[in-house]
Amino acid sequence: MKSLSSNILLTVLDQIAWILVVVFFVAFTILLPQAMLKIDTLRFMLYEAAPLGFLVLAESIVLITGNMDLSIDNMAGFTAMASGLIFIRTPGLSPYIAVLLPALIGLACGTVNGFLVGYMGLNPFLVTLGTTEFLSGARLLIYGGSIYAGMLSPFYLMWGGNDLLCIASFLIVLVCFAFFLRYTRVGSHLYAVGGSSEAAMMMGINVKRSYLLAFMASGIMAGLAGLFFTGFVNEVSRNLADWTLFPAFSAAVIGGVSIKGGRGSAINAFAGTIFIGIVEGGLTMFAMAPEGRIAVYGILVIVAIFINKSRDTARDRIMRSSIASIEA
Amino acid sequence: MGIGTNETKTSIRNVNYEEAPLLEVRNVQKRYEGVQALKRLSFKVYKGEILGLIGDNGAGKSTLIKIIAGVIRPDGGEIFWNGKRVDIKTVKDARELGIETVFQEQALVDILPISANIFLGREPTRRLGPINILDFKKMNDQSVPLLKGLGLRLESPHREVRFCSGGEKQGVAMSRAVKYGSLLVNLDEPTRGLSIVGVGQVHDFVLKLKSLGHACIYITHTFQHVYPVADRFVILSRGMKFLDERKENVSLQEIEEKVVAAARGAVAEVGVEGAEA
Repeated sequence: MKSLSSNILLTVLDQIAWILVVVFFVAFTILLPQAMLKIDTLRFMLYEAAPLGFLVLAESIVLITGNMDLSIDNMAGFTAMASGLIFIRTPGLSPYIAVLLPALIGLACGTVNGFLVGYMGLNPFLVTLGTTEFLSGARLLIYGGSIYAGMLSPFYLMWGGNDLLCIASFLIVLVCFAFFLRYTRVGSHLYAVGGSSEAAMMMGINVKRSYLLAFMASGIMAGLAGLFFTGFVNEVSRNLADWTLFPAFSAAVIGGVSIKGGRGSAINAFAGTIFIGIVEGGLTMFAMAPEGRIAVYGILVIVAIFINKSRDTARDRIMRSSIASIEA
Repeated sequence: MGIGTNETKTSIRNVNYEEAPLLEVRNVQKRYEGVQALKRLSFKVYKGEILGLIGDNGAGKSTLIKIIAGVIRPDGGEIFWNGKRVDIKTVKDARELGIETVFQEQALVDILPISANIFLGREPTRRLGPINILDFKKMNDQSVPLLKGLGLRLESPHREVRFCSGGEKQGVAMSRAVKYGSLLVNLDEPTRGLSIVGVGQVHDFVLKLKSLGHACIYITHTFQHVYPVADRFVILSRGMKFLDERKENVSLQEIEEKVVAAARGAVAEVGVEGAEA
């Protein structure tokens, strides 16, 4: 039963992020059993991973179409700042409407990215490098300081502030996102476009619109990340969501989203998110300084693209040998 | 030639040339950055006819097929479908008329499974409450008989297309035309890079289409490949028609001479219908 064993190998390969989750969890548990084995620790790890999870989804959907989005972290920071600003400058603004602002502003930012990449045909790497710089400056320009919890409404803050609500909201969005990618025509076209934009175009799939759509979804997710980060840290600081691009990218790629496009699932990207969450949790327990964390994020990116490449090579080898054994 | 199971010589001459043509292209022009790819080109395809469209590299074959397929738009000229003037703006427009194109690059997404490729852009869906979701079962169930009908031995519709041979890839791309019951199938260099077995597979398929009453434009620069199966030949040279002749009036050797003459640039326009209309 060669095909059975190769199927098992392929499954292991696709679920490598879950295996890493277990390995790292066990490793940290051996090193710090008294800290890791507490239910509060696990709960906090998930809670900490949830706001980042939105950014992982934001990066994943763009990567699936064969593009890249370097602006998601500053987009989250900008949307949080802009939404907070609108809230404090608009007396009488219903908090129920205010809570929608981050997603809407994120959508607007993502639409700009998507238009420039999809319809103007500009290089996604450079476009989003430009927008990330722009948003980073704009965030500080529109409001000089931090927006503190007292200036915002409890309803606005509770989404990221309450750990269970935060985790539950993320899981609901994750399931919807995964469903969209896996089961809808529009979602499946994102994979086709990422696999070969030429072939997709020749088969009548609107490539430009697919790019636009991916960046729009990415913008909404970055906006939600802004909302949940705001609740998580209980303010909109000047550096909210800084240094989250690399962890988000690493989580997506370790979770199996291909940097070449056309491959990846939201659920496996979630595994990558949990993995990053465990690494973050471990760093916290070892009281790693912020500088050290940033260095670790850099290493994680390289680890992620290494895993991506090794996985592609191994997958090819397994598939080829299983076909050869069938045809023999 | 004649590797396939069907004896190519007995391909029935059932084309009715008295009827209105299925597709008529009149005075179509296309210019690319200073190069006139098509110069007021006109030709017809009849129902159930296999038209061999022969030309060297750069003769304008691919440009012509992309115009008919709706991938690019001509700078001038008219297209008639069943005698009615049509404007083919997109691939979707072409498909709605019943024109399916198997491009030279086959338009396959290598990393997607065979079934996903067959249904690419036209995925069947089923209702799930208020929304339409992809019908994977239907795609897999329909892929298998479709490929079998073409004589393709592929054990699983889940196999990624990049692991298929050249002939198998053509089969996957061509099965789309069968699936959607297209009236006209454009084959752009379907035998390029194929083994002898692959060429035979392609010809079986072309004849199968003909037997079902579908027309086919078979584009190639390998005129030896198309000669056994085609009913009529059009030779293109530098964006113009160089020959337009039914098979009974032209031998393989004459076609070869014409192709060589065209390649040498001895352009003598023959039968450019309505060039000054």
